[in-house]
Amino acid sequence: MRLTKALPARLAAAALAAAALTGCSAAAAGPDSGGQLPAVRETTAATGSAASSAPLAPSVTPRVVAAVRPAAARFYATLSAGNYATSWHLLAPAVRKQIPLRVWVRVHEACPTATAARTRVIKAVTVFGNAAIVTTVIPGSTAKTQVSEDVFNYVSGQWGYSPEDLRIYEHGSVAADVAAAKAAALCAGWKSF
Amino acid sequence: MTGTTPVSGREQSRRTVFVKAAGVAAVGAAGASVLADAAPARAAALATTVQQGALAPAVVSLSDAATIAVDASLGNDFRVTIAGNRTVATPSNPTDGQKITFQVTQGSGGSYTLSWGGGFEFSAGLPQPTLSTSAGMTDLLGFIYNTAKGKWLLAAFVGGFSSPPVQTQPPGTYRLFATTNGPASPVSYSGPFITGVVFGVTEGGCWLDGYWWWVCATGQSTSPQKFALWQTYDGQNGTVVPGSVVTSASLTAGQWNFVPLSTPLPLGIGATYVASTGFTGSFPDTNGQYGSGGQFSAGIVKGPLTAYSDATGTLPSPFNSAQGVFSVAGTDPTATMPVYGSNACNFWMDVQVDTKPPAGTSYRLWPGFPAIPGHLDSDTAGYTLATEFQLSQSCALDNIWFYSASGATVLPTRCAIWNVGTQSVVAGTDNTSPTWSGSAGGGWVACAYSGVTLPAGDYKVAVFYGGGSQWYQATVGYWSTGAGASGITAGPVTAPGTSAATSPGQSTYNAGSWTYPVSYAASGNGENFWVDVEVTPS
Repeated sequence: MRLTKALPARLAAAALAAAALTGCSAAAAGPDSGGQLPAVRETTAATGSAASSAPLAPSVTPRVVAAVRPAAARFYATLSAGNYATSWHLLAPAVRKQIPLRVWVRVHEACPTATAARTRVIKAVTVFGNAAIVTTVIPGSTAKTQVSEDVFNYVSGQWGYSPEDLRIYEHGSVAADVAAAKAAALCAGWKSF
Repeated sequence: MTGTTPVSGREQSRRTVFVKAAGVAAVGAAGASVLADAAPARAAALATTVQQGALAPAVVSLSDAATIAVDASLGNDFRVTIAGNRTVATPSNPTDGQKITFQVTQGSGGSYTLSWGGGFEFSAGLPQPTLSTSAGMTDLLGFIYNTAKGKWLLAAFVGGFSSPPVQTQPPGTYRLFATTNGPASPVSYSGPFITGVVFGVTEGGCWLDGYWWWVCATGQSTSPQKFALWQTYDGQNGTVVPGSVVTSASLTAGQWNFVPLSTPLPLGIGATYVASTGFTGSFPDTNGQYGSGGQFSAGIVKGPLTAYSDATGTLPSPFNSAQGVFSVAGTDPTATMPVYGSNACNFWMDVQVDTKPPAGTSYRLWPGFPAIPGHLDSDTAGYTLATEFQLSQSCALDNIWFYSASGATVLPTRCAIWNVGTQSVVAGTDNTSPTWSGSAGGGWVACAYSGVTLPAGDYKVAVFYGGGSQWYQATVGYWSTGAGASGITAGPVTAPGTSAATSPGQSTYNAGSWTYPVSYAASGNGENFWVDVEVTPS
């Protein structure tokens, strides 16, 4: 018997949001985005704003909590502007390890969402542990206002976006990734991915 | 206390009284909260601000640890459940005159003691109190900060509050938080949320009875919600286990809610499960419990039930994934398996596992294990592949099972039960053209039997394929160092680990032909070919 057996699957990388906190109190800004960005309007949360009673990681100080909104706004602005290379730098570190810059850029160039060049309004931010759920709306021409929730994680002194489904980027080719994104109705859709 | 009229803007900052909440906290100038005295209104009138309505201080859930850190700038009402003898560190960021309270609850296994940091001061009139001695009991301590002394002065102590009753589960069943309640209030949120706990079982013969879900006393949905069990094969993707989905009735606030399955679901040893539920709105959360330094940094082991720690703890899942987990993709826990983590938060999801078999049940080695981690072996050679098993009593043979990994295009062409003692096929079990229950590459497939009784004894369940295409999946080390190292027992069925198996070991094969399997892949170190048997006691 040929004995080149497969080990049980064990992902080398930890789950994207399980990365240990290493940084601390200062909310470092992401890389400079450059260029002109569409306006991202922030509003005071009508509901579900960061709850002062929410249990937080020790390193998530009030200053860090306050840094969620600008970090999220910056990420959304780069996406809306089609500045995908910059937006990749605003991903959570564990995500960047799993999605190469080239793949991220090419998939998004081939598969822009409906939020391209649209204003996304941050309605609420809920912070707990070292994660933040950012609730946004995209006012527009559609009859129904689009509401979306995204997760950001605070790792190494920075808030970074964590896509919900990394499988989109793991098909082995950009064409296959784009096909998967289309099949999942993400292209021209409202949700970040 | 009734309201009084503010008289002086200059004096307003000195004191605050609330019409409907005398004695509760008011927000001080520094941002932290200061308790208002419940002194007579008239005496306070000249220095009193009246504010309509109630104002409650932020409730701060402290992380249980050997030394419990307290940041006085975060609130006035600090709560913690202690799972050992602890020290409360001197609160940082104090404000002169600030009043804080601690609600200390004895965790499972209590009584536990508290020591106090050097910044706390006790008096002859109110010495350091002795805490309650029973698990679930809560003690209340109030301190006032005196800047001149640089001390937190104990001003009040009331002991012996009873917590909400902890629901008990039947004997022989196991759950993660049998004697621990969740938090009093949830994280405020208004969107979709799916949450889960990652766990496994370390013995065969375990069933999932249902799910437990903590609903906070206030602020959390009590509407019916759906529960599901995922089996993950890589930590980020998974399969909903058939028979695991159930929708609750309306939930009850302030307690654990048990949501039973209509039929207990058999669980597979070595499988990694995510019990999940979805809903809209606020959710219970205690920060950091499953991670390094947290109360459950070593996971939670209750009999055969094991909840893994976070990746930062000492008992992470086989995939080094987060614990607990959440998603915001929707509210349907069958549509999305939660994988996000957040600093090892505990979202207070629980399961109930039972080792008492349901009446009339059948037994197999790997039930409830729809997606085996790993992949199709590149080998295209033909073999007889077998798993040794012993029956402690006479049983009817129901099925021979084989795991056909994704990508396989062929299925075994023969299957049978071999008698280990005689090294011969058991009469009535040799099927030379089996009809499998599923297609190649589709996971577990079964070949059904009826009318065959296997007496107590030692057997090998075997499948054969003559070669030419990739067809099987193997897991190296499964029976020597993996989940099967100590053997698997499910009711009357026992599959021994390699060290206890008949020589040359578990599991065995024969190359090229349909023959009693006696070869042992030493380099595979007790590899598992995922050949299973299902029987029902006669």
